[in-house]
Amino acid sequence: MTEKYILKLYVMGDTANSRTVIKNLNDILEKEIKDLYTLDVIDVLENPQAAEEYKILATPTLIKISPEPARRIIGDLSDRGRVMSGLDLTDEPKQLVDSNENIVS
Amino acid sequence: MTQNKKLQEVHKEACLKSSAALAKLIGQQTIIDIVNPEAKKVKELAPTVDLDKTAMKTAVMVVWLPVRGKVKGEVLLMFSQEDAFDLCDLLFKRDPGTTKELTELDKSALQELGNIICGSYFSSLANHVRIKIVEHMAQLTFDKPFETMLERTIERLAPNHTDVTALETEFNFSTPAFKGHFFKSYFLVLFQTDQLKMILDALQKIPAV
Repeated sequence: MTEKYILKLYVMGDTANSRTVIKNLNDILEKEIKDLYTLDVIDVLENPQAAEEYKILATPTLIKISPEPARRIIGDLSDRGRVMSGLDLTDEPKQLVDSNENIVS
Repeated sequence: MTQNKKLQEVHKEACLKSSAALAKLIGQQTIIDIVNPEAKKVKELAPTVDLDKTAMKTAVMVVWLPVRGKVKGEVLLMFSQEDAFDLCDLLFKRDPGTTKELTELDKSALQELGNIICGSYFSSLANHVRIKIVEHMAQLTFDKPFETMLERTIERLAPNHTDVTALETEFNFSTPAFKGHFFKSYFLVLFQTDQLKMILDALQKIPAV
């Protein structure tokens, strides 16, 4: 059985930027792993403790909790290829994320 | 990767550097909301952040920083007056809502904050494009409308108001110390058009970040 994806998306406020990233992510998830994921959207303004828990430094940040390894992607998630790669849904090189949950630059 | 995507990646990293520097200054976790920059002609500019709707005409806090070296540019970082007061509370660890007017010490602290945000941003940008960018000391104005500041800035860059292009974005952040508060600023980088092109061309040559 395929392991379900557990994802957390951190945004800051109900802004155009936040709405864009939620839409971008939903489009990808519904197309690629429909019914195989749980997405928790967290507004750091309403829930700053949750941001501290995962040491969030920037929004939007998407964290893949499972399947392991955990990864995080920072940015508006408009680059479909990079999001897919970050979620381990393709074999493309991971330029944005690494297995230690750090941004690779 | 397109020039625009590379610019977004470099911008993202520069914002993270600025945010880390800001966190160090205030001694608190800082979370920055990364908003992609847009290149615009100056006549198309208008503050897009949800400040006062009349921000162009009313007095706001503007940190202004000249950029020299191989490229000539100007940076404008604008906060509403209310956010400037709250920033002082944050910087001096006062209770939110304490500051009602700025002392000389408050102004100096805000100037330093502008220096740190803009300086870290440009250090990161310069490292990527490998073009020498020298930031000067930030200056602060608190009594002029943004429109006036923008006009003067453009005049310094191009007296005939032609050939100036801006990178327009926002530098918005929050900190758990001010639970639920969202500091919003309008971040504008102006270059002579040919010099911005030089930066974008340099970005094209660097490997993906």
